[in-house]
Amino acid sequence: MSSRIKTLIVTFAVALLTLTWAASAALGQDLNTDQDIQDGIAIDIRGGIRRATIPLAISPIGGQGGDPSISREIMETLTRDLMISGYFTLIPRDQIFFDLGSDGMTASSINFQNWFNIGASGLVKGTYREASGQVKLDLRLFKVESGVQANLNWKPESVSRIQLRQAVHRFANAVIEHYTGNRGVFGTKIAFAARTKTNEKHIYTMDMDGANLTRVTRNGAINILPSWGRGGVYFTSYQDGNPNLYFWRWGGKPQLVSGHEGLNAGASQCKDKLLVTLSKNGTNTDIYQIHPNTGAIEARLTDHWGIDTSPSWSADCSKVAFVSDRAGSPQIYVMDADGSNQRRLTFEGDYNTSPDWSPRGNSILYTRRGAGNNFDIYSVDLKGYSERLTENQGSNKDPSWSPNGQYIVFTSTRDGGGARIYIMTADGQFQTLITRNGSGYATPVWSR
Amino acid sequence: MSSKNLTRSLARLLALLLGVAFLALACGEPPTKALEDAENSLLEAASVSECAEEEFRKAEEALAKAKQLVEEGEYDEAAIQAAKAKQLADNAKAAGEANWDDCQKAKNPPDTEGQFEVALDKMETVYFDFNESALTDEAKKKLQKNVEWMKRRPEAKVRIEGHCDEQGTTDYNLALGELRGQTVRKYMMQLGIKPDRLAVVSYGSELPVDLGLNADAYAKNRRAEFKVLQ
Repeated sequence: MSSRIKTLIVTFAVALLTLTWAASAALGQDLNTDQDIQDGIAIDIRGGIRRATIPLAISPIGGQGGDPSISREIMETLTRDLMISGYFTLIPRDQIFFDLGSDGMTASSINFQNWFNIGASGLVKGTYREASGQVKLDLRLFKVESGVQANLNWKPESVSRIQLRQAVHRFANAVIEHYTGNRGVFGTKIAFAARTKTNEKHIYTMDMDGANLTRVTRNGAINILPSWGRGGVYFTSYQDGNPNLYFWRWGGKPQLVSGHEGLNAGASQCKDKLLVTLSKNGTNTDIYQIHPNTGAIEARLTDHWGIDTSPSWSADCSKVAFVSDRAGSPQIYVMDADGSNQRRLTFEGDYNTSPDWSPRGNSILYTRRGAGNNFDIYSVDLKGYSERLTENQGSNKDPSWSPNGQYIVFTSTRDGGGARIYIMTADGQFQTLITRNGSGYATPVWSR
Repeated sequence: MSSKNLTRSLARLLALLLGVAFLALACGEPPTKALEDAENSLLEAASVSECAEEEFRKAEEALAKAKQLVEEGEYDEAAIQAAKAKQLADNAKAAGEANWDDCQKAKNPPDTEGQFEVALDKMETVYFDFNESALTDEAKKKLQKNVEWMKRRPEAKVRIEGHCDEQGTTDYNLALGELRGQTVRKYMMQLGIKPDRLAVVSYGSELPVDLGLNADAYAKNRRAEFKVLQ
């Protein structure tokens, strides 16, 4: 191909992509077209700022053996993952109007011009073969403009039927890594609390795409504030009458960790150090370091007349963000791991709570109460510079970073309902509903 | 009739009798286990039935029909109906739990205060301003009465339960409820109640008395309640 034709094609491609984006920007609704084939997905883009997303097409999944639910599950998992990642605009199925019969699984056998014409920049093709309970899964990403297969950090997998979703998640993670340099978060877990009756609230875990719901507590009591420890979930339960801290090792029975009279809550673990809020001996709440299994008190980090609560470790275990009302209203503070050098980070607003320190860098998420009694998610750095991440969409609370710092999970009452769980990209631009039904969700936390 | 023929006829008769007895056994038992299962599922669904009324009603009807079929001796039909009732009850429970929050908020009961106060005896609930743990003058007056009540019953121990409205965040509300409880406890100690007679537990915003999302409901929920332990 001569360089002149190449230039022409590139120019045409750029023009076409620009047109696609401009059209979707003008229509506003266009991104939601795919919603019809999705379950419970809504995409909001904040403040009219539209990030350039990558137009991606998924070719129908071909396969041999097994029941049709296999190709459906591959397609649904892949579509949902790529949609909620926030990086792609998926080309609706009904726009793939051309004959796919001659399209193969290798670059030389794919008619890229067809995919180019419908505006695809990336193309995912897949086949599977099912034999004696094992599914051999082959998924590939092609770059339409250059007509080559992308070299992904993923190889075809042979998995059992129930592991199929996880295998598709791993492929989706590799696709995200290809485009962003950071591996995706599909297949990671989120724990949360949900009210089931007036006087019952239970701890659950789910995959970050809302699938695989697992119930942790079955004690007929109020259970709140889950957080991830190594191999399981810490939470506070009223099952003994007093708010005690329990640890649920994955698949086992919850074990009592800390049962001092008064509060035992809000665990944050970094390596072998577990921080909690206690109000022992009739004092008000302070932050303590306790043994992760026995709950024995190892150190007291705050000693103040007011409220000190909600500790969150920095990724390197050297610093702790927390909430204190020592200045008359709840504000975000930071201190060293031994409790020294306590200083205030937030100065705007009279209600800043629920800090969560990024697993990468020093961005601390928190919840602020604003005008009209609405709550919104902000982040603050160690210099005290705050950035707003949600706006004008109901009350948004309890942010928690994804393991790679790319996403944030939180609750929102937008669209008039009760609290539901959403995720957004770290810049707040892409926001997506994760929970599939119901409401009354609280305090989602992402596994680290 | 030869004796050989007689033996053969007797054997045939015996086989027939055994067959009839076996058949009678096979369809003669009411489906007790299936009915029990259905009843248990209905019991479990009952606590959330108000948020899945339609589903719950269908399950109840199915169980009633199953019981009627038992009365009529239609045990096979009854077993099928009982299994259906169990399935419907399980569905009702799942639907009720999923809808619970929305449905409670929609119902927005005007005032359910009292349902958590059964055990309060005559001690009075005190209320707080938003995000405050300081005692208002009205709260202090009530606490003085509560102290008098405790002084008349020197054996009584009391648990102070600190509560918040639903506006704030779970983690901070839990600490604020504790501070409210501690503030009440300190004031009552200053008025002469021994520390070991007063325990504090914070419920944060987990047990509102009014599920409404308005200023009146919030004001009712920012409170300290008193439970007499002995």
